[in-house]
Amino acid sequence: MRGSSIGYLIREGARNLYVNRLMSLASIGVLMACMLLIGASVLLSVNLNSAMERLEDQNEVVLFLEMGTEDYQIEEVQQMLDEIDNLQSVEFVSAQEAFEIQRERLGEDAVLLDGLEDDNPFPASFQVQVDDLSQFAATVQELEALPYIEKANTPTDLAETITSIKQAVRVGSYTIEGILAVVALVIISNTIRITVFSRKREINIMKWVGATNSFIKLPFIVEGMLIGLIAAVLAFGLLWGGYYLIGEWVVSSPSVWVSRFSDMLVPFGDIALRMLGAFALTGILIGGFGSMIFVRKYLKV
Amino acid sequence: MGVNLNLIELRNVSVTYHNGTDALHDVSLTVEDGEFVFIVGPSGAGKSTLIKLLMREEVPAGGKAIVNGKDLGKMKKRDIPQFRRSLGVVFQDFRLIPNMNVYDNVAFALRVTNVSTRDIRNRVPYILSLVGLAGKARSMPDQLSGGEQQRVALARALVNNPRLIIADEPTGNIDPELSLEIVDLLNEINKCGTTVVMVTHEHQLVSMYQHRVVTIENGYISSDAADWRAYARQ
Repeated sequence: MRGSSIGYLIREGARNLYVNRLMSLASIGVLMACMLLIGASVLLSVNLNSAMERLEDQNEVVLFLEMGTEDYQIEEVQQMLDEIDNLQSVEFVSAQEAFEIQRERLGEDAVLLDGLEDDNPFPASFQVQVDDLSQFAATVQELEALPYIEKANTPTDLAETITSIKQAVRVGSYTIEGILAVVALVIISNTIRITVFSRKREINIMKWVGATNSFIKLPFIVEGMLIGLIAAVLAFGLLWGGYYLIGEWVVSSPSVWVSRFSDMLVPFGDIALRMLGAFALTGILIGGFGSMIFVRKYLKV
Repeated sequence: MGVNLNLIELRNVSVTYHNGTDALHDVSLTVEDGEFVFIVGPSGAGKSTLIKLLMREEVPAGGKAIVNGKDLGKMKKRDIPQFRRSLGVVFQDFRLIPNMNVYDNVAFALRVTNVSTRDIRNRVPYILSLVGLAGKARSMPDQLSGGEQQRVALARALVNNPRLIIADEPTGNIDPELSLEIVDLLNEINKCGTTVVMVTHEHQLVSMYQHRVVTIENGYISSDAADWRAYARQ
């Protein structure tokens, strides 16, 4: 096939897209929604993964002591800790030190703690670094068995939560994506069917003047591919914008809890190129295959 | 190339419609290269079926049909486009594409057959001037008279340089005074060597030319006269 013919067929496909703009818009919208969901779940799991990795770096267990634990009792615990293998380091943080740390962390809001100096709400704690992570769970059990321990904060709690969130996100998004993919195919096929019907006359004339089947079909396939490509680019742009806004919100959030995540967010640039590529490819394939299947069905050429 | 090559050779051809009714029975017809043949007969006699057969829209149920050297009964589906490019077809209702201008309607027939843009730019204006529409290239079909629209359709049929032109009641939707123009054009084309088969029921038109007249009635060829005088004597 000649270059000039291919140019002509692509122009024809684009013209179809414009002539049936309402249906094209519907197809683009559904496909875009599909990709937005897929993209959002990818971004979420990328961030969850990076959070997991950070948590794994922190092999630290914080042992909060019961309020009012006496110094000699603390001494006792310290000795017992020294006997446990598999500990890299043990650091004692007194109640007074914990108070100071919190005050620093709060910065301007430190006034909240004014007047509490004598009625310190923060417990003393041991910050323990575990050596061999593969023995982590067993070591934690040993630590929890120590006396005067109110609570042991381990990264495993959070890790398990994040793992289950990841699982839920994955299952949920697969289901929704599956449903949306079917809806997208139906809508694209309908768009192509309407294009075929509105151009029945033209198609017949093409057949009489000796156009080959592929020549007749190609503009429809181009139309489907363009729908997919446009949906991909739009979904990518929306995700980028949305991700940027979420990042802004996290950084500037007055909530200490939320702004803690600001340095955890994976920069969009790290995944942008791969995501755009994957979106464009999926869009073009779904659009192209969708119309290829249905144009054959409706055209009977 | 044989001197007396037959462009159309039908031997005992029948065409059966899907509902079982016969549209053509046992039709034998030979048209030589360079001939001009009128096909006449009452409506429903099988004229349109004959045209569809010649275009390979209908498949012969029996007999042998050879058009432009191709055996229609044995033709594979994927060879149909190539075969149709060797024909030029003109219909009663013009069948132009309403949202394309005159130029594009004609260029269309070249585009689908993989002709380069440069060749299209050379060929289309030439063909349009041949049918007397050089000044109307940018007009839309609905801005043209019936006669002009049919000339666009004729230009589209001619643009691929076909050896055979098939015209199905080309004057049926045109004012009588303009009908002659169309047939005259076909006659000129025929003089340049292109074979023309024209279906019509306008006896007056037939009587103005010295061409062969084939009559179809009830799916049979009921007469085959060398010209309209011979036809009128029957």
